[in-house]
Amino acid sequence: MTISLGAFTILIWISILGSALLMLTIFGYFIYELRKKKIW
Amino acid sequence: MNIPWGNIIVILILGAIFIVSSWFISRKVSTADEYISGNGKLGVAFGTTSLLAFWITGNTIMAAPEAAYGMGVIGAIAYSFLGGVAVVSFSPLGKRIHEIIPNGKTVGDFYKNRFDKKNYFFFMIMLFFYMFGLLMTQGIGGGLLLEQIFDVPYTLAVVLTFVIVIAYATMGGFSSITGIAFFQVMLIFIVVIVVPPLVYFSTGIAPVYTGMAQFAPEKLDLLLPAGILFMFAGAMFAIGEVFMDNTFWQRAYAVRKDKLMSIFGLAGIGWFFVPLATATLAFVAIGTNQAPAEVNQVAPFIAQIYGGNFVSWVFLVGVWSALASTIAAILNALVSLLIHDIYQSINPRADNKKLLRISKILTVVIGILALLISLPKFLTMLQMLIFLGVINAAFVFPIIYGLFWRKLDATVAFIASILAIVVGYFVYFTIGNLQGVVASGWVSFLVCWIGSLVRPADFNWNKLYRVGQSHTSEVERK
Amino acid sequence: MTFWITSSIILFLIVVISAFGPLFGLYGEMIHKENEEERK
Repeated sequence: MTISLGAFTILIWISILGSALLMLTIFGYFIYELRKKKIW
Repeated sequence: MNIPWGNIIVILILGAIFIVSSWFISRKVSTADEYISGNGKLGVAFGTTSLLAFWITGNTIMAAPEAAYGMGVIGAIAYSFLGGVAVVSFSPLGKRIHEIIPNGKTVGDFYKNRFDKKNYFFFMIMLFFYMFGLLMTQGIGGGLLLEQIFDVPYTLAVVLTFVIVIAYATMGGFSSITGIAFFQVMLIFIVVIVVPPLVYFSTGIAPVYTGMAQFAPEKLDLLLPAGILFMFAGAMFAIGEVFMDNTFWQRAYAVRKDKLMSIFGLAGIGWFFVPLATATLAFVAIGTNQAPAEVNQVAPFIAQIYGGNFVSWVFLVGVWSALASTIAAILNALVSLLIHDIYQSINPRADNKKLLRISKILTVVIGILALLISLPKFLTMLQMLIFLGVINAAFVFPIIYGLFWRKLDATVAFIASILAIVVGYFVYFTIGNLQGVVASGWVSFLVCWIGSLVRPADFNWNKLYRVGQSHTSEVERK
Repeated sequence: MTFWITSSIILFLIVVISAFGPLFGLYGEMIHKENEEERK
């Protein structure tokens, strides 16, 4: 079963966007926890 | 050989930043407990990044593209899958660990009190063997990477990396490592988000795809048998690695109880997407028919071709940070084991000051030992991980059933782990390496499961619940 | 090869079920009951 060009494109972009979203989430938590002084 | 001073200066500047921040953080570390395990209050940001830091290492930036280069699309997916699934599977265990051993510190606490002495000693020997092996792969992998892509001489690369890591890991222990890991992981994220789009904007996705179809059509096949086996046998060794490794137990104890599931969930997502993003760079190498001299250098190789000098520096920063954070985490996990499971049982009355001093000395000693062993470069990373995977897989079921199921008997667990390792290595050397991991997992499962039904024990969980209560009862854990 | 792939998939499912099972009450126990303190 060969992957189609469309799925291939989606795979590449999802991996990049997924990482970007995750980074934003973690950074958001960082700011949030920093404000609440609950980092450690 | 020309020494690339520019690259070395980048590393030195980064190293200086890590050391200064570590010193800053270390001012609030006053007890040995904090040095080895923090104080159980790690939030989502630091909790997640400290888990990510462990996997998003040279392993991710080197081994994931390597798998993609060798097995194509399914290789990339398989590698991401095995890591992601391993961390997510640990989350119910982490929850249970908080429930049943609220005052534990290391995986040794569990193994010693849930089973008996013979189990404990066998497990500890295997664990030290495994963790030292892992530390070596990171050191060697790091040295090779800096040498082959960034032209830093191997010996200098290894020495530089270890000296900086030892310096900052010694200062503040666990708190420093988790704090700095946050920034290291952010740097890696930037690499992952910036480099692949840059490359794909200049090549285009469709040309890469048609190139792959032309040069290596089998690498577009989603049902490539080798890839499928790698996906599930790989999941087995990754799960074993996570379940057994003290690095994860330390973090399970260290994070806030109510945030545990989301921390492990987020980290699992990261373990999935970040390797996948770096692995896509290997597709460019296949599609444009450009092969690097060493197959595990494929990602930085492509980054350099399409991104030029700036991108290769961004890569250097990310990769080196990743390596430093992993080495630091393993170093600290090893020292915690030595202090908590060995030194404190020899000398239980040692006071805080002494423990803290011994911990710091041990960090330096083990760091230097690992540095010396890494100097002769004699192994490849993925192969070493699979070799150690036979040991990891053997302990999966004693750990899972030991945590959840009172029926698992100590002797049964002992037989299961020994038999699994013996059978696993037999298959490893006669049939194939991944098959060895699968065989080891199956023996571990069958002996534990059937043994528990035939010879059920009735374990009293309070024995685990009381661990560490006497001397940490003043630390309120809710 | 088919044998090894099949057995690795089955083993993987067993591991996942074993790890998540207690969360859904499939076997074993998840929550430590304080009142068990009296059992001793």
